[in-house]
Amino acid sequence: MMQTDAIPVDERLLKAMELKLSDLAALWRGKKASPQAETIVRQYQAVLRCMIELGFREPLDADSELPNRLMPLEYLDLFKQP
Amino acid sequence: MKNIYLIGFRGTSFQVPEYKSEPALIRAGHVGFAFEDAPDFIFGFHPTPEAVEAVGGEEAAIEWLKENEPLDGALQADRPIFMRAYALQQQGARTDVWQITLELPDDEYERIRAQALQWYTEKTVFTYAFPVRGQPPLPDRDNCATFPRRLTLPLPEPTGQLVRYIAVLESQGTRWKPEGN
Repeated sequence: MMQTDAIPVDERLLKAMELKLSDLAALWRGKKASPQAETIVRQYQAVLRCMIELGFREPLDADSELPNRLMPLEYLDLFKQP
Repeated sequence: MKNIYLIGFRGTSFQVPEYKSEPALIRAGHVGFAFEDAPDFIFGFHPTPEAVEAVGGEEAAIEWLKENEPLDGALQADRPIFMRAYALQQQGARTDVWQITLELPDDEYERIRAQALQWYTEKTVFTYAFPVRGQPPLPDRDNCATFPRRLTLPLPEPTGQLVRYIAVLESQGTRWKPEGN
């Protein structure tokens, strides 16, 4: 199990949140041209930032991501080479 | 009764530099299907090389799909992709390959096999797109995971979202291994 500053990470919670992100990405694609799109992006970014705060360090599936222009920098920075 | 196998794995992602040189399907994850009479031949539905090039290559194609733009797709021979996913998993990647078995009456099996072979040999083009929610399902857009519905095969998971679909293959299926391994 991953640890963040010695606090055990709840893997089941992170898995549930990962599924939520996948749903939100698919919803955004379906609602991209609607007024709801901006709200979906905000929710997506909030969930992913929360996951990272909780210790999530894995890459998402491509179809679970928004376009890179809408992904939080905190996520993209996880995979930048030093 | 005869068997058709649905086979799939999660990708390494397009974000991790370590896998940047891998084929796009390894990074994206993939689902294919094979028939009992020729289990080594794995059909997979994905964008054609021409469609990928037309939007600027593999990285650009993934961004294009994430923007909910479609690409031309076709059935292709994808066993090497599944072999590579298996090999990478042996080295620690998350590309565990799973399969489930669908048992079908002989006549239905033969009809589906003949249709798949026809589409493969004729390079029939279908619309490829990432899964969407929040609107009625579009009957003319599929990704690799939902394409088997065009052959009237039952989907083990309806959305086609890979994180959900592969979890079902894992929970209901068995590990896929290259024959002879």
